[in-house]
Amino acid sequence: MSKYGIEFKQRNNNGIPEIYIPWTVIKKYDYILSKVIEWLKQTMNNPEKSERMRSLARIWLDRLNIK
Amino acid sequence: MLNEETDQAINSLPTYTNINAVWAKCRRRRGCLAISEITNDHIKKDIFNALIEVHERINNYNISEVADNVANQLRDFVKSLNELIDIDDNTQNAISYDAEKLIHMINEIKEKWLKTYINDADNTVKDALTGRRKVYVVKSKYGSLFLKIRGRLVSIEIEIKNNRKSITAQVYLKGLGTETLEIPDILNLSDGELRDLRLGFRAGDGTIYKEKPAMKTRQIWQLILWALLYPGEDKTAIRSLGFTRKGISITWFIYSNSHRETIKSKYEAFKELEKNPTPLSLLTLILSDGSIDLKRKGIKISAGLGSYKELNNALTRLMTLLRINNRISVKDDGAGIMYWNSNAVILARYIVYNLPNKLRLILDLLERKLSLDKWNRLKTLASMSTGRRHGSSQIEIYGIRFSVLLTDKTIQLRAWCGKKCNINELIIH
Repeated sequence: MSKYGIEFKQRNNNGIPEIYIPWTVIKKYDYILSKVIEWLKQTMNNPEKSERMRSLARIWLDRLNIK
Repeated sequence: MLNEETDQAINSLPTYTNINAVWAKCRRRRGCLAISEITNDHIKKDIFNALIEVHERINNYNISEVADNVANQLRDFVKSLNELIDIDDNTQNAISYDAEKLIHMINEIKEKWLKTYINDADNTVKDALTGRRKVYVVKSKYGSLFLKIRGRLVSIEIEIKNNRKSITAQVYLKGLGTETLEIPDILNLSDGELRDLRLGFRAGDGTIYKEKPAMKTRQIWQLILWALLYPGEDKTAIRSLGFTRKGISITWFIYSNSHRETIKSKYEAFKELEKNPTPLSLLTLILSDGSIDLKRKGIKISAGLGSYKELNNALTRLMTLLRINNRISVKDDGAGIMYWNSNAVILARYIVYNLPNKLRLILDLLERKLSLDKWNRLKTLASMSTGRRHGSSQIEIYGIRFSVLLTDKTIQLRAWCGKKCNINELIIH
């Protein structure tokens, strides 16, 4: 990730080290943001996803002003 | 029960300054010792508000409806049980006799509450509000306040949770007896199966009393299921009534006179669970301390702020076994181990599809007749899609697969790797 200049963060989750990209970073990189938007669109229309996930995806797409 | 005099007493209460609240040191069954007067106005207001709320609950909640409902449910359950499973007349009679004893206890508590205890409970709280009776207060390690007030026939314990919004009250009643139940063995489970089922309860609501396995519960289905796991002589009593936001509830205490409890503490139970996280143990643990959210596809196993880490450790092996993940939720009023989406569905399937038939039949009956809704929700969750087949929850960025964490507040992309993988490999990728 370093070579692409992504500002990821590190933490421990139940003893398992993980890296994560926070929203403040996601929104700065068009490439990552487009991937997230694509995922949100798929999630919103996916009947296999829980009602809560679909609703959250819809809320986020509205927030991002994506039709 | 609120009469004019009481109304006047409450209405004429000047302020929280009237209450006589003291920090105290309390010991189980040995009462409380006052240490110092509480002078903090915020704390006194919280105590005062809690007393007002409890006073209202004591006077407004209707025990008759609750008691009659439980008694009818019990009769209905026994009738259906006798039809459902193949048992001889003697066993049927024993079960009916036990049920009638429980119903007798329910009716007795209803009558005594309405005749005697409610007046004493009402007066006790009223006296506490006006400062005529001392309120002993203990602050827990995690910020909750426990109030104890002694009355003539009752003693009242109120918990004000750390967030100061949630209040629960327990009214302990003096002078009530114990009933002996002769519980027949109708489950016909192996020793190992019984041990596993008991372990889940022990890690949940179970406790130990005079070296015997015991449990305190507000749920009639839990009393019945627990008793069936300890066939032989069981002693049961109603020692208190619970007054929560939702209503009044009878709190049962039961212990087995025929069995010894070998697991001395909750931590020992967690250790045992860690060694062998069987579907049976997880069933009774979740029925005891779990909650199931079908809308959000989640299972939460609640734990105290002092024990959630140990419980989480106890469940680590299970997570490796089922390849599922969890998250720990810590709030002011308690903690919990949470399983979401496919993780929750996989856990539910592990439990629901690995139970002995007869136990399933009994659980179904407890669900239908004694409101064991949690079992219904667990079965429904098990039948849901894991959501893994269609549409992933992952996004690939520069060759790394990230899981998406989506909440109403944030979106995060997370990536981790197994034990043999070095996290630095992801970083320099």
